[in-house]
Order: sequence, then structure tokens, then C-alpha cells
Amino acid sequence: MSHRSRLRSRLRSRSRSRSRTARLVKLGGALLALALLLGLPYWLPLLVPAMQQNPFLLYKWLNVLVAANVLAILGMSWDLLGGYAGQISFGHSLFLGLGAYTTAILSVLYGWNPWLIIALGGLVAAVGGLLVAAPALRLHGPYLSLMTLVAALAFDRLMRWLKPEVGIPGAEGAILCVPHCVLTLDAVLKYYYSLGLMLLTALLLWALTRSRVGLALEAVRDDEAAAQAAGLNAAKYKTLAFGVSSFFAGIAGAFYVYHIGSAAPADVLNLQRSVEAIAVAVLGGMGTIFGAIGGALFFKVFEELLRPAGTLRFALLFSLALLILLLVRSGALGRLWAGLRPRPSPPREGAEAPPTVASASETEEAEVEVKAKPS
Amino acid sequence: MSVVVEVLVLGFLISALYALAALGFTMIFGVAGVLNLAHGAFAMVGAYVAIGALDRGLSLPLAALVAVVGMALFAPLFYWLIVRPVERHPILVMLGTLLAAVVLEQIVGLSFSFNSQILPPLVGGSFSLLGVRVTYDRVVASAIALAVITGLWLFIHKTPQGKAILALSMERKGAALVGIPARRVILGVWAISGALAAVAGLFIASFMGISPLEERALLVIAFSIVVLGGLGSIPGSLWAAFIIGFSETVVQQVAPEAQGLASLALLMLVLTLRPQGLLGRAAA
Repeated sequence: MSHRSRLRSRLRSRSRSRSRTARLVKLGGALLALALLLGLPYWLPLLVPAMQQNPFLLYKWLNVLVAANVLAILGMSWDLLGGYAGQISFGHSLFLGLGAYTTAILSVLYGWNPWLIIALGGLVAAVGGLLVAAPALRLHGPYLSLMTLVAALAFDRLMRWLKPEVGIPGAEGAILCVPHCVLTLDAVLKYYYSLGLMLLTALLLWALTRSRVGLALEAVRDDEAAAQAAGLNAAKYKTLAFGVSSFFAGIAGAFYVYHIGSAAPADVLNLQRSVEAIAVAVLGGMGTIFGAIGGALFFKVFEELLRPAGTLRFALLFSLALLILLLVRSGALGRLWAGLRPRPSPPREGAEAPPTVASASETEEAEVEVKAKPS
Repeated sequence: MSVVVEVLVLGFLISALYALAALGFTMIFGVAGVLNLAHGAFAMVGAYVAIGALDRGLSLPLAALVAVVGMALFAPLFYWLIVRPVERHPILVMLGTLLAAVVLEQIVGLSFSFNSQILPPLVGGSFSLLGVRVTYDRVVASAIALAVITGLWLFIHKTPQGKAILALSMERKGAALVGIPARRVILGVWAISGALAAVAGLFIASFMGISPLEERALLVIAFSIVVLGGLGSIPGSLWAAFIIGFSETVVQQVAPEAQGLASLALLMLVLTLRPQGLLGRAAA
């Protein structure tokens, strides 16, 4: 008895301190990352003296980070649909492209306020997402993935076929909207705009996943039949996930057009964009929302660092991503992975399985208590 | 009239090739439950191995042989290195094979070029069938494709090794109970799949030319056929290959600018109406 109670109290105190430290470390890490991102235009030149002499070098890197922020939004939107609702989309370039084309066309034709146009880009993409969701609700697993892939390809072919005569039409259905779709010429300001948009997206999606809706999505992902039996309307939640996910993917596409000044099928509708969205979400950790930010930063920064390798860089970049995927999953870095990302409950364990380190040790404690009782 | 004949003849020839391209893909899914999104890349790499062998002065049949044998060895290696570590996570399998496909695209593009290349036809000349010009090369290709498919069917249904594949695709535990070595059979299926992809890649490269990025189109065709026919179902894939092949040929004749769009629309329609494919069992 005394032995058990001692064990119990020791476990409890350990779990408490561990959970508190873990929480503090997590919060501290998040705040540090936020501070680093916010102050980046100021500390980066101090770190790299070459940037002080040549501001264009700083602007170049800021542009890389703008692209990373856009990719992060896309990755997070994919994560909501793939990581939480369990609907693996291979066609997020469709939603990216819908947002991008809406922006390019509206900015040339009407020239409304950029933020309004970006929001409209998101809305149009959301409508596209709901249209895809309608047939997708009947599909599962690989069939659903193919459906999204096919929808994205069909839109790509459609744009190449229609060749929209808006702005300065480029080759293969591209739209160059350059004087109209410029948000700002100030690279630092543009960085902050993209950062703000990215953080806002992260916050909204995170809040959504921590709400009842998030729980419902996870329940549907883990066992749709059980979720249905428990009274959840799986179709409703899946449709919602499609709508929200495509909305934010559309926002990413819309901002991207304001970043580079054109919308082209070979760029925004490229299958590679969908692969990147999945890659950053999976590398950063599926079902975490924030993971995609790290994945996107990693991806874009490495892409830029590998630029001297010329055309070889995509081969290197994707090999690297593949290598990380295999190393992390096959066990070599598995422990590190588990430490960084204490969430993945094995499928079918039920959505109520608590995802954090803290609560994991609480269950451990509860188990010990149950065992201690009979004596 | 001649248009109808043209559609029938060309549609038949192209469908046989599509079936060949899709078979390896569906076999791997049926037996190992793996969606190999690098299957298009296998066909593309196979074609480029032949192109490389031709550049080194090998004769065409020899180069084709090198390509087929090479892919039969490459595919199991690919499985061992890339698919096996993540086999239990279907999402990671899809992502891993897709990433690997992009890497293969880049490697081939850098070592050859990203432009389209064409393989010389196996046999020259052409003849006229009811007013339609048909090259002997295409006839030989579809004859070989049909022969390979028939051979595969016989192999699966008549030999012990083939029956092991069939058993494994039906019930993994049951197959293990009667002593079928799953690992070895799966490696064998990957080898067959690689070889089939290489044959398809060779013919496609000699008809239409091939470029590294073309593998995506090949993958979409294979994926579409397999899903349309029902994942893992070989007869379903054959039917679907002919449906897709013919519908593409029809659209090419009627509205060439909508090519690709029509078969995609058809696919979306079928998926919506019959989610498990024509002859498929419901996916997990």
C-alpha cells in the first residue's frame, strides 16, 4: 500500500512538473519563434553583414519568406482537411489556382481594395471546395484523392483552353496583371503583410481545431461509422472541412498573385504545388496546423539555399524531403519525431484520446490509480 | 464512315497500351495495398533507359530488353528503399512515391533533357485499313500488349507462383496460413509491375514521344483506368482502359481542343455515380 501510494505520488508529481515544463517550453518556443519572425527584417542584416551593404540581398530573402508564408497558409489549409478531417486531397492546387485567378481577374477588371479581392479569392475557392466536396462525400481513401487530383487537372486544362483575355495574356492561359495586382513595392512591408496573414490563418485554424468542430473532425477521421453512430453528421463536417480548407488555400493563391504579379497554370495549377502542400504539412507533422509553418520555412529556405545548384535543386530538395520522410518514419529519428510532436494517436483509438504530453502522462497516472485501488 | 473506322481502329490500339500501363499499378494495389504514384515515372524511366541504351549504340530490340529487365530490377529496389519503411501509412506511401516520382523526373530531365524525345518505331511502314492509315508499329505494339496481358492472365491463373499472387490479393492472413511467403511474392509483383510499366513506356515513347514531365499524364491515365475499373481488379482495368482509350480517341476526332478534359469529366462522373469503380470491391 505504502509502496503503491509512494509510486502514485511520485508519478503524479513527475507528471505535473513534466506537463508544466512541457507547457512552458512549448509556450516559450512559440513566443521565441514569433519574436524571431516579427523581428526578422532587423536581426537578419545584423547576422549577415553582406545584407547591410546590399539591401537587395535582404529583400531577396524577405521575398523567399513571403513565399514561405504563402506555402505555410496552403500547407495549414491542407492539414485541416488531411490531418484533421482525414480527407487526403491531391488537388489543393485547384483551390490555390481559383484564388489566384479570381485575384488576377478582379484586380485588372475592377481594381478594388486588395484585401477585399483577396477575401473574394478565398470565397471563390471555398465555393470550388464545396463543389468538389459534393461528389467527394461519397468517396473514400484513394478514390477521394484521385477525385481531387482530377478536379485540379481539369481546371488546369480548362484555363489552358479558355486562355482568359484579361490583363496581359501570357502563354498557356496565364494572366499577367502587374500594374494592378501590386500590393506594395516595399519588401519589408510585404513581408509583414504575408506574416500577418499567415499568423491570422494559423490562429483561426488552430482555434477551429481546438473547438468542438475540431473534435468532430477528428472523430470522423478516426472512425466515420462510430462518429455517425454517436450522432455526428459526418457529411456536414467533411463539407465544412472542404469549405474552410479551400477558403484558406484560395487566400494563399490570392496573396501569391499580389506577390508575384501573375497567375499561370504552369505555376499555381501545377501538380507540384499540391505535392508541396502535402509535403510541408506531413514534414511539419500532420494534425498540428502549426507544423506546416515549420515545414514551409524549411522548404522555401532550402530551395533558395540550393539555388546555386541550378536546375539540380528540385531534385535535391525533393530527395531531401523524401529522405526526411523515410528517416523520421522508419525509426532512425522516430524518437525525435515523437518528442517534437506528441500527438499522433494511432488510427481508431478514438478522437477523445488526449493529444498532448501532459494529458498522456495523466492517463498513465489514472491507470496507476486504478491499479492501486483494490488493495 | 471513315471517322468511325478511325476511332475504332485507333481507339483499340491505344486502349491496349493503356491497359498495359494500368495493369502493374492495379496489381500492386491488389496484392500489397500500395498506391504506387511513381508508376508513371517507372514507364517514363523505362523509356529513357532504352533511349540511353540506343545512344550507346545498342540495337533497338536489345535496348528495349535492357529497359524491361532494368525496370524489373529497379521496381523491387524502389519498393525496398522507399515504400517498405512507410508501408503501414497509406498517406506516407502516396506522398513518398509522389516525391520519388518528382525526383525521378528531375534526374531524368537533367541527365537527358526536359524536351520530348521519341523512340524509333520497332517496325516501319504502314497499311490502309478501310481507308485509315495504320502503322505496322502500332499493330505490333498492341499485339505485344495483348500478348503480354494474356500471358499475365495465364501466369496468374495457371502457375503456382501466379496463384500465390492471387491468393495474397484475396486474403493476406489466409495466404500466410497456407505458407505463401508474402514478402517474396510482393517483391515479385513489383518486378512484374516495373517490367509492364517499361513495356508501356517504350511503346508510348515510340508513338507519341515522351518527356520527363509526361509521366504525370501517364500516371493520371493509369490511375483513372484503375479507379474506373475498380482498384485491384484486373478485368476491371481492361474494361476501363478501353473505355478511356475510346473516349479519348472520340474526343480527339470531334473536339481536339477539349482533349484530356473529356476523359477527366467522364471519370468524375463515374466516380460520383459508382464510387467503387465498375468492377471494384469497396476500398478500405
